[in-house]
Amino acid sequence: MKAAPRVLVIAALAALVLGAPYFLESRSVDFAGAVIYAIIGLSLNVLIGYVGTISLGHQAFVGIGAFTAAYMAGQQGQPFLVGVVVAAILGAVQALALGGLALRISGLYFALITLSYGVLAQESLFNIKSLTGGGAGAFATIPTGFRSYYFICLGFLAIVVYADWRLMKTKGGRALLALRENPRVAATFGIDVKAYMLVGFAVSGLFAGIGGALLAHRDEVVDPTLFSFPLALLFVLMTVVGGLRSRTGIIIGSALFALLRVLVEEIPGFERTLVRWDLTLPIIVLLLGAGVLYTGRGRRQTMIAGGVLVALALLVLSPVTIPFLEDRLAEIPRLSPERASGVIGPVLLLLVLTRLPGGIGQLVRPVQHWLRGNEWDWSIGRVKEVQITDVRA
Amino acid sequence: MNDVLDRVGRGRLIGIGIALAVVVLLRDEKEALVIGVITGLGYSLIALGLVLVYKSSGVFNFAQAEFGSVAVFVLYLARVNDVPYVFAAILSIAVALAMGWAVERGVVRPLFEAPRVTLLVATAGVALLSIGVTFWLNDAQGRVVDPAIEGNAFTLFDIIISKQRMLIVIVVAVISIVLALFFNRTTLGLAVLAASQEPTATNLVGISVRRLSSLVWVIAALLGALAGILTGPFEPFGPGAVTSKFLIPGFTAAVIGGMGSLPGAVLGGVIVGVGQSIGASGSLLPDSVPGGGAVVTFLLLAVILAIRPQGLMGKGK
Repeated sequence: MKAAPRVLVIAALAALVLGAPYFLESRSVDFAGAVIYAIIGLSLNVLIGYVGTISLGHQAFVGIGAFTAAYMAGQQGQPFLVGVVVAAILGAVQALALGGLALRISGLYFALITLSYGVLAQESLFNIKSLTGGGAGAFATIPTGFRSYYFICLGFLAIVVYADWRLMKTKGGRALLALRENPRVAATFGIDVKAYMLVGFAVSGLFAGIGGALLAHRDEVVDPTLFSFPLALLFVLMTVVGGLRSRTGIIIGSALFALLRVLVEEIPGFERTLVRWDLTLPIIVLLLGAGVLYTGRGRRQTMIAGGVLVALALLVLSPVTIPFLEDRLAEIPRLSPERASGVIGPVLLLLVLTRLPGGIGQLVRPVQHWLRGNEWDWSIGRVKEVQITDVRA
Repeated sequence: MNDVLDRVGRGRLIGIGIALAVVVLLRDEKEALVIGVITGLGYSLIALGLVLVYKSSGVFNFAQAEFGSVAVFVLYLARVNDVPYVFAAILSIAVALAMGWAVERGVVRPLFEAPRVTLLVATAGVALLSIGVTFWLNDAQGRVVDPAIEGNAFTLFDIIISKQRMLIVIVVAVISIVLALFFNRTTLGLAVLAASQEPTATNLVGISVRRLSSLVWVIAALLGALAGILTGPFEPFGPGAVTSKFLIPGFTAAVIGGMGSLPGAVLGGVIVGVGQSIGASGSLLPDSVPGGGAVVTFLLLAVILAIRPQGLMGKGK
């Protein structure tokens, strides 16, 4: 096997990650945000992917980290690093408290508890004036310039990835995976289910606290309205779309969601292109056709043939349809960059749930496999369904 | 529906309801009680939809309140374009029904065999998509839609009750009766119950479980839409308004009722409504801690689930 192409790919990826704030310096803030989202995604992955409980209140986890950091920096005058450490610890503590409830309440009902907890945090905790400045917000200055801050965040991401990797390599990690699939079976194998669930919650809270603290110092001002329920949903979306239990997938997925805003801003007419059905439909049909061929379901091949014919017809008719559609499209309002993830994200989620259960992780697994010096193999990392827990209740 | 006849459970629920009411009256907060009951009936509408879907397919439907958000938006758009109220209301309900049907077809059916937690994530995705699209096609500013009936009905404990609020009370009462008759007296209702308990056996006797699933989602969408257009006029609304105000209280109400009991959902809604309005009145928490309503909802949910997970009306297991 020749090593040259692999080295080239690795070098290109490294250049992309390390050089991003140099290529587009004005976007350093957003790149830092992408790294922070990756940390948050990994934090949520510990709960959904490893412990097997869904958390719809993760904005509270992150928010507590953010407000703690702002409190330490603003009211206590502590240095940046102290704030991050305290935020991480407090994040772990509140996650442990919630984890205590998870021991009694499981599955769907625990999702409700987290949902309600998130709203409680947003409406009550984050509005306590003496701690968080109430609705006015709390302040935390950024310790360096935006470009250096990106590298600081990258450093924290490296720590989180390393911690996550070590966790999954130990006995505790294997115990977590076993109890996710079925707590009762895990218990019969002598795994202390309750203790390991609490470990999972603490680790998740720790990561979320770090993410929140970094977010606070990046924005320099934190206010309760940032941590609303849709944000929690967005966190779940990016984790599931990234691919549960796939670190690389989640990092890419989270960064993608954080950068959707930038994409919409940088690519002119992004949302128009999305709704240019006369042009996008053929592409989608062709992609779907390729996808179905790739998964090898013979029954649907007639449907694909029909779809391709429709696509071709649309292409042939496009001189007529495009002007007609363009008039209609002009009436569609612009998709504001802040809202882009709210429209594109759920569509990606539903596609992943029904068509690509491994998410982005499933797509990058063959690449990783190849980069490690193996033959190219499409079937590596293919997943049957989005597995959160095996317990069907 | 055996759980309706579960007199012990019902007794317990009513007992708690009365205890709450007594506490409120003793604390001289009759206003909180009246406002709470009426707000709570709105929660009941959402909770009824949640319970229906849960009974039929075991799904926690996070898009339930979005049916209401979409309906109230359509109502607003129609009213702005001078459509008469009746037609506007019918149009908005029709859109919500179509949405309910589409969600069942597009999301629930492909995931029929998937774990229920996965479906929960999927319906949450639907809710976020609906909010996102509403934001895209409109903007975040607050809008005001006119009520179905103007004017005030009567005064109770110095609180003026508008006719619109009375309309909610009547609608909830009518819907409760209709649903009770549907499940107890019609074969279709019986089929839905059968499909929820033994899907395979139901299929074997020649009832299409999937078609029933569509029906239930459409009914749930109707309930969500009613909650939206009836409560929409009370304050200015933006995208996702009904979800942010009703989803969590609705779920809490459904859980208090045991997730499987329709009467439980109605009474649960009232309990949550009263609890929230006591919490919001500020006498429970010190002044420095705001958001009493959210605290009460969280505590109700956590305490019920930790102590009596089958709910007040549910059967023990």
